[in-house]
Amino acid sequence: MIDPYKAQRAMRNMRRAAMQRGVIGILDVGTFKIAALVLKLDPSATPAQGSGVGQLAGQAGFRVIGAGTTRSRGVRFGEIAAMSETERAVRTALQAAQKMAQTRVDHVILCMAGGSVRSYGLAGEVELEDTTVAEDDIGRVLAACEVPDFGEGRDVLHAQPVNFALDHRSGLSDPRGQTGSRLACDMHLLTVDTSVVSNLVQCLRRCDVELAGVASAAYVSGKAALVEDEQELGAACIDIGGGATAVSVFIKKHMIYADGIRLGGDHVTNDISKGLQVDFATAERIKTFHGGVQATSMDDRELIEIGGNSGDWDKDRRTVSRSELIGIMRPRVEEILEEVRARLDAAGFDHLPSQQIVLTGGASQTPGLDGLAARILGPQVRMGRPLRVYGLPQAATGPAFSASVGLCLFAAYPQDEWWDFDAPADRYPARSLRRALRWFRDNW
Amino acid sequence: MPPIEPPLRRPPGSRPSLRAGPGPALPGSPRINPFGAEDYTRAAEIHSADPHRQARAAGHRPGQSTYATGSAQNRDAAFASEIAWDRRAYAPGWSLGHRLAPARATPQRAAPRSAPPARDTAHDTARDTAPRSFWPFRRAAAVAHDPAPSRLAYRLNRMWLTPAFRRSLTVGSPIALIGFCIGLIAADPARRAYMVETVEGWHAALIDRAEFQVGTVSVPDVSPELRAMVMERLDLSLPLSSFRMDLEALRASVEAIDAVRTADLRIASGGDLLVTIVERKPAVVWRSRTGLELLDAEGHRIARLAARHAVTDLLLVAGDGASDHVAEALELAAVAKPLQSRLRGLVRVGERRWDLVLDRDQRIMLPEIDPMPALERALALDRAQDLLARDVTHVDLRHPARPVLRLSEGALDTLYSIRQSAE
Repeated sequence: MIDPYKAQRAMRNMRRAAMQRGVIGILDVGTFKIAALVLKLDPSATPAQGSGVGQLAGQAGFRVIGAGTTRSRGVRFGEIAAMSETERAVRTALQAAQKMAQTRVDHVILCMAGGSVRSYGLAGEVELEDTTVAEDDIGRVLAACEVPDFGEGRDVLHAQPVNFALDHRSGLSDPRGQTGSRLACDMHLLTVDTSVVSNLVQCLRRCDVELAGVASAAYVSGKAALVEDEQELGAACIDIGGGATAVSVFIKKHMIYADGIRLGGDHVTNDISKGLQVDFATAERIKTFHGGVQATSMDDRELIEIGGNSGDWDKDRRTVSRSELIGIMRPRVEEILEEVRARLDAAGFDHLPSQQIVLTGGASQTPGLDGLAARILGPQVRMGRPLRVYGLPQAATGPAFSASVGLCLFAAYPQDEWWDFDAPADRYPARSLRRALRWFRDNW
Repeated sequence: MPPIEPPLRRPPGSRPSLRAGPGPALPGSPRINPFGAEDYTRAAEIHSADPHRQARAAGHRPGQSTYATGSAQNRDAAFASEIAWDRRAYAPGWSLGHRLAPARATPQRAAPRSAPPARDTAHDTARDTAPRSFWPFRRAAAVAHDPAPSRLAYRLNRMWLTPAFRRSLTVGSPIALIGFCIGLIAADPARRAYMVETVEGWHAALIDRAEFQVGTVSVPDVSPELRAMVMERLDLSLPLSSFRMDLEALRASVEAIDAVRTADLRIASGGDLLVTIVERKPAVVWRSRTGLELLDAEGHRIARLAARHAVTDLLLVAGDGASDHVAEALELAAVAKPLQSRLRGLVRVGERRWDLVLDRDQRIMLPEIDPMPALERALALDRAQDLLARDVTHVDLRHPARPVLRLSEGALDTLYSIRQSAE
């Protein structure tokens, strides 16, 4: 295997530095909005009784002390299209969050939905040198995983060991200290376009903050929106955002599949804008207030004033019935859900013991979406809201903030990834000094 | 997608009323009361009679749809609780930290004069529910407001949120400024001296007020000699401000007088310094190498005595170091009460033990340790055998196991002669 992911290790070190300082920023760069949160990491922080914030699901140990949201600019499909615009929007959100927190943020963890994520299942196997599994055996077995050729211009975003097998026993979450002779592991690898990530990194650098981690929006929104049993038994989290829809499949508390679709709520708005010949903001307002995907006979009689700023009296007095609006919205929503269906089928979602589907993200608030999704995706559909975390403002508890909240959990309790384990010594470059130091540390 | 019909133009008021009016409301559709009347039935009657007349009477102009307006408002109200925050989230330019930067719809162009003066009610409703600026003047709507801070503003803001910088600016720099100003003013010695002088002048003017002056000293219940001595020791140039008096030092100087046991100084009302004195009580007369001195029970010197006969009722002690053991001497004298008429005094011998001196040059020599039992023994001997009435010069009890009597010479001769005749 190639490089031990120096960039990821550097980000881990940065995260550790942020943990020591106690303040870390969360940035969700979406197509519709950019949300920034400021976390105060305090292991002894205990939320008040009855606040609905639990202790067990990783919600404790930190507190949200600042939040800022702003309309996203210069982002399309979850990717940066106009960097200076995005930089301004990030500055706006970060400054608002910093102002609320009354502290400056130097380290930021980022998540993004775009970048055409691809996931790979990897498997590796090693013979143990000793009879018990030691820390470095984990590193060895992870290094032994056969990495597919994911092509030029792609970077590894997540590389999470999801399963360990020791001899004939599989399904081990932590094999350290156990006895056996042959250790195998399954790893889930997620890659994104390098250019997309480097654009975001560049954007953050221009905002004077250090990057302490990057996560996939699919992963973090699944972390926040799926409850514990869903994560354990198998579920798919579908985060329908503004410009991109993120799909992630969880089982046994690990993400085993993630994908992204370059379709979202903005496309629905765009359809309304074109169909009704109104500007984008009006279309967004009409969608938000009157939108839906399930037409009833009542909707024929409900007339929506479209309005307009043309100055032409006739044009500005137009009305449209709600069923017509639904007629515009529904095909696009169906298209999104069918894309999701195709991705889930490709991932083998049918074979999971439980096929719970959780819809989250800002566009999932469309009335009637759960009924439509139940037809397309399967019977077990529910609307997902993010976990409650300590200190989160009420305005940021909606489904549009699943990824942000999941990123908080990710920041406070990151999952072990491949780069958290030391690669075996023989894979180090031939730097005898470092090897000597390592030998010294291991043996003394 | 169904085909979009072009919006039909209907004559004002001719739109069929679908949502308003009496009768059971459809499930999920809010019931409309376009007149705002509380009595619903009455409103319904009016409505059925002539809705447009009533609408006109209520101030609506033709061209404005009463029902559509009511409908939009009511739907907003019904959904407000569910989507209140979403609406804010979807409103352009909204952010959690920018409550004061209101959402602005795209600029509204003024309707041409030829068109009926209609208000765009749906837009107005949406705009009214959006948070407004508190700034009294509405900015020109045509200016697109960019909520993003400039790079400089962002950096300055971050710098301001840096604790060290902030503290240095909010605390450090005022202190430095004040310090600098004080330093600048105090740099000139003449000005410094002038300031000190001025402040001292204020202080003196305050403490030298008549209310604080002490004019008299009273020393009650003591002898005139002691009073004179106290006055001499106090050495006050009256009148004097009480702030200028160090009462503790004055008290120490008064207590330095031998005859004074304790002194208590108080400034009483009327500017009177009250000196309350407890005198020492004379207990013994000590004949020392330098002369006669009066001592109290603790052995503290009170006064020099010119002659022994000036004080006859006190016990006389003599010898070096006697003043340090006055209490013991007094105890011995108390035990030797039966011999009081004969007791001349006590002598400290070798600075370690006592001799009781009686008249006829008789002495009772007491041991250094436990003199009291020895004295009691001598008294018992005297009581039983009339010892001290005999011709004995010394009763030597220094060694408890071996009491010795020293006889006068005549007695000794007599004793020898008796012994010889007996042989």
